Amino acid sequence: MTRMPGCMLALLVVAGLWGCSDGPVCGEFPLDDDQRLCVVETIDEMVAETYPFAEYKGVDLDEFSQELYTTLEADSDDSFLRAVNYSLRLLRDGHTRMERRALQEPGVAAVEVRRVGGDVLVVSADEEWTGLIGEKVVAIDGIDAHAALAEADVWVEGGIDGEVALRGPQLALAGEAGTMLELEMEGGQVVEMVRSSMFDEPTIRRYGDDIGYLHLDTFGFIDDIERIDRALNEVMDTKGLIVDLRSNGGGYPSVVEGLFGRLISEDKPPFDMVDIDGNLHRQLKVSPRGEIYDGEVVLLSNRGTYSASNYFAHRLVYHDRGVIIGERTGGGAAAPAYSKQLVPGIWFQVSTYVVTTPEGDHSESGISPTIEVDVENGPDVDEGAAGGLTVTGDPVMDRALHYLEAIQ
Amino acid sequence: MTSILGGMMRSKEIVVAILTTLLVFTAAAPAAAQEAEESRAEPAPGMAIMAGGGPFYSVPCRCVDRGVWSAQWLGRLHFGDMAALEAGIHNGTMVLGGRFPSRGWSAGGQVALLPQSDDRWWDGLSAKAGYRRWQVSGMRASGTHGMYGGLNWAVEVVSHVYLEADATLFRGFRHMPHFSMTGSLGVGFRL
Repeated sequence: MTRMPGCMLALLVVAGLWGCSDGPVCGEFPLDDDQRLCVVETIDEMVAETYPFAEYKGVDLDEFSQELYTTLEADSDDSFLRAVNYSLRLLRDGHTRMERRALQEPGVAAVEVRRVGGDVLVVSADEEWTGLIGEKVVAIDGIDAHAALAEADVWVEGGIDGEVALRGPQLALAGEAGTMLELEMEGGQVVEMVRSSMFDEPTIRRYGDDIGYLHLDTFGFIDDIERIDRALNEVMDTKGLIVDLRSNGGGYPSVVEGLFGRLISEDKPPFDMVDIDGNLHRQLKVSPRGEIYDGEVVLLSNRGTYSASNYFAHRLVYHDRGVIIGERTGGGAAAPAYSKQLVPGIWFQVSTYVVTTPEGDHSESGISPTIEVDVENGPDVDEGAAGGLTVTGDPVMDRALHYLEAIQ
Repeated sequence: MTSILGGMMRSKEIVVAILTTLLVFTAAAPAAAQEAEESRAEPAPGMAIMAGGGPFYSVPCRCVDRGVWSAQWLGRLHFGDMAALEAGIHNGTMVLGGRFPSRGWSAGGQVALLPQSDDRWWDGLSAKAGYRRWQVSGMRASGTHGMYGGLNWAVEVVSHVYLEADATLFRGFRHMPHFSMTGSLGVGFRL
């Protein structure tokens, strides 16, 4: 009788944890023929089952399958995985990709290394570590430098158009933000440095009295909603807000909706998430949140404005809440909700649910800017017209400042 | 300057939470003392499984914009009918557009608000307070923490088995500053 509660508790805890472990579906390295076939078949099935853009992008899935199966002829696990990843280019979709690892918060090193001749050398560094440039690296976190770089090479190429991905040598130095990186240099010197976050926290500043500027590197952290709220609270008295989403590779729609909710005064029609057959998965709703910012809104964009930040751009123009200045956004209108760990450390994810307006339109090909700025050839503005505002040297930013000053 | 002020604010919030906790226990102390004189029972182990949810008030937004749901597994050490220490783990979900899994742990105590008997409606009614650590999947920060306080009502349905209802206010600090109000129901076992 008295043991019963303990047993029940243990059972519930075990049951609760049971669903959390999601190991590799195709076994461990080194991969035998059956395991490689498993990798290929799993990807092929996942794509056939859920990939929603084949028709829209004119992708021939039979051709994709054929190329995918040719990867089985590769002579090593590394070349096999590279070949599999290479075949994914045929799908032309930044969200449908393989991933080398999943970090809670990607952290990058203050130095960059590269193979030069037969050595691994530091080729660039932040100010604090410039003395290391040109030095030979022997080991990275206790692993032979060449072996560490070779492992990083397996990192599959990211997607297209703005997907943020660490590749090659950069990955060899990456890890969880805040952790220590240890480099052993030739001669035995050991250098330790902290990996800094790849994504800065949301930042806010003012241009003059009337313009606020919110810079967001990512929508990838759920607690950034609070940081964005704090930032917005500081510029509620301004007449115009610039939201800089250039090279923002996306994140959670919930964070987007958190920000957008501060910019609208009434509920807006939900967008839909639909699967390959057009079935509704769920709706993305935006409602007013807290104190509403009612000034003009300008979004800065480029091809790196992708996925969730592309969703923000789509919302902004659809609801006529602001203008976009810069380049066309990168698209990425489908949530990659379906993923599997194929082999240890390597996941495959596929675009699953397409985000559409109530009319069924999506923004996979990106959103056109209201005002396009030719970044290559400088600002298309009369700099004198910027009045008392700082001309930043950033043509897109300058155009936004000019626009806000003009309409005020 | 901002970080210094921020630090002062956080310290102030924590002090307020601790004082609130002490106040709850102080208010209940006379009843506890009276009961202690009547019976000095040996500490007895117990446990509870609770589940519930409620609204989440974001401090920077100054708005209720999401909901939280959680299941709790609590281990307790009862000191007669009047007081108990408790510690537990939490698994749940924060609903904010999508669903974000959460987990955490807590440690605190319960004190009966009034002298206990076997026939009054408030029997089994306790004040509770404690500390909680909380992590939501997808946070930039490694976790957040805060203080909770509330009421717990346990009614014995069969020997050693209790139905419990719980109303808790949690104040989260730091990376996700908020108040969440949670109502929970569950089953408790007490030797």
